[in-house]
Amino acid sequence: MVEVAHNLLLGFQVALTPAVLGYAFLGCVIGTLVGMLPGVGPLTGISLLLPVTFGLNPTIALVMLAGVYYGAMYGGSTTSILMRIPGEAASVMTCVDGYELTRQGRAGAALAIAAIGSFSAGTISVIGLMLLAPPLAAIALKFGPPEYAALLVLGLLVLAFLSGGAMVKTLAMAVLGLLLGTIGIDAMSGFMRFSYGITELADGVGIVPVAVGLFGVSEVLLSARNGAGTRVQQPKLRELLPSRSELRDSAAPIARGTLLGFFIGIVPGSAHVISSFVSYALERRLARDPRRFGRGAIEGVAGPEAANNSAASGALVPLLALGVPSGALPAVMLAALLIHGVTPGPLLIQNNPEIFWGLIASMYVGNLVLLILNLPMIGLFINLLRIPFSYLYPLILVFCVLGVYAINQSAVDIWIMLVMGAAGYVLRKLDFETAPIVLGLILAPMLELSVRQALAMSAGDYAIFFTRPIAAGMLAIAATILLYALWSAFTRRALWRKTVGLEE
Amino acid sequence: MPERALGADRIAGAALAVFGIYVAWAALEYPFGSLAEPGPALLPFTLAMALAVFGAVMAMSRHPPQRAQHLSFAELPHALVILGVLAAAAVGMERIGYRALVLAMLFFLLAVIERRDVRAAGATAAVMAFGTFYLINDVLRVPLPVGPWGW
Repeated sequence: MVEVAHNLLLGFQVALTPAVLGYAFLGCVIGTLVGMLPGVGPLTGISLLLPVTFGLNPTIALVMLAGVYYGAMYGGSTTSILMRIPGEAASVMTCVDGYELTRQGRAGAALAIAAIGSFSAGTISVIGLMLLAPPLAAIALKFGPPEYAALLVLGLLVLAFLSGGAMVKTLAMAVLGLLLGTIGIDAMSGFMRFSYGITELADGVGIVPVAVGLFGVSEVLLSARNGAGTRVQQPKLRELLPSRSELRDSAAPIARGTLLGFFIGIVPGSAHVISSFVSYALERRLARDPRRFGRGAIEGVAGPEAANNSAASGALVPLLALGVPSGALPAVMLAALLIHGVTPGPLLIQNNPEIFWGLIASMYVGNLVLLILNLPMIGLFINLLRIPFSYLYPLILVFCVLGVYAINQSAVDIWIMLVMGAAGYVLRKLDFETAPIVLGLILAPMLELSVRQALAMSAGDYAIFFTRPIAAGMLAIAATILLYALWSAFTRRALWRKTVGLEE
Repeated sequence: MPERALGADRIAGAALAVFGIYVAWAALEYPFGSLAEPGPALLPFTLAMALAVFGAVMAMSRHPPQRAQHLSFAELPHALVILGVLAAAAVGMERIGYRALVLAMLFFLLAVIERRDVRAAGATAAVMAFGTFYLINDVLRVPLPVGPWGW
């Protein structure tokens, strides 16, 4: 412990030099701005800035890129809360209650809780990264395709079980999302599925066009009613801050989201994107009144925001401790490390302590910078809501079109957004939750690939899922949840039939 | 007869069931493989059948339904105009370029649909079209399409 404290002190000596501090600040500002633009998320931001860091020393370059990473994770929540446009998959759940809070004049509180949640999660998860990186990375390495498939099945079932709406509707939407995820080239056989001659669909349906369509465009369509489209919100200064009860209600969700996000984040693959979905579902299940969720529950912002920021730190565990990137973003960070002559892995701490501990310390600094930067800027962001809706919604549509086009420079993505916007409009009219569609879309390719890889490993023997302890454990939990949900549905139905007098 | 009333959930359930059956039929075009060695059709077929089952469960639900005629679609004409504008954006983006598209799209929505002052609508459209192009294309270096007349 003394050694850790000594090393951290070394790190802070590096992180608190004016040059490093300045670049951390710059990275956070750029990251926040980039994160606010739909389609130009952290991945694009870091990729664009990578060449800019070539001339910098490795520590400064990494600190700046980490600032962009964290800043973009936070920036994504701003448009989600104010305009219901998720910049990326991790911000989808923030839209649900964040935007409802905005409609109730509590946008400032939602943005402040998002900032505080992100700061707390970022800071606490860095402690986890610092202390637990080596042992956790070793466990993460035991995750092969069978474990990954079991984790994804468990994730889907947990979400369906924890969902607040009718389970059959939630499951139908999740299955619809999974079906969307099967569009494109089948990774194992090379067959092009459901593409109908559109070559742009070879890579599958993008998450951002679907999320922006289901959330952003559908909201514009629903608000487009004549008369309702002229509202202007003019929040007062004291309304910008969260109330004492909102802070109190957010504390436990932030703590739970932090833990959950960190542990999901270390799993190799792209599982970290589900952390905000799982956190939201968990908070709804634990809430005294789950009906508040979807209608402006502050816990629905606090938990997912903490989870997605914590997962960002968790994703760095296998990268720094083993040199194994756990997704696209850490892979770009790995490229940045290699470009600067730093090889991540077990020897990083021994050979380049100033880089490892400097990065750790700069994460603390970066989180503080983000909080200091973003809390005063809430008033500025809120001014967006002062724009009359008749001006605001055309601007939102432009940003939606720009954001989805910028990802692949493809007009097909605009069509996907349009179709999803229309589908979201109808589905929301009919009281369907649209978030499970996005989750299904994210999980489908990962689930299919891991199941088929696992079967390839075992020559088609399904026993591989039950003979490996981690996979078997997760599937046992999934089976228990499924049985409990069925039992619960059966007893509720019996109670309902009794209530309406169908049974004595 | 509330039990048999035509509920929105039932219509949605029936639509999902039909869609599921269609996708399952479409998936048969691809090799099915076997359970030990699944082909590209197995997962979509299974999911589509699951969707059809969930849809059927909703369609046959005996819970008091949300009546379809209680749903209001008052904003539908305006929503259709917006969808039309988005369709025009998808068609026009690579044909007339980003700046011309945003200029036309914003001017149409602000001046024609929302009946805002023409000068204010024009100025807003121009600032957005050229400002966002500069930010995304020139500063962030994410290429955006340019029209046949060079802008």
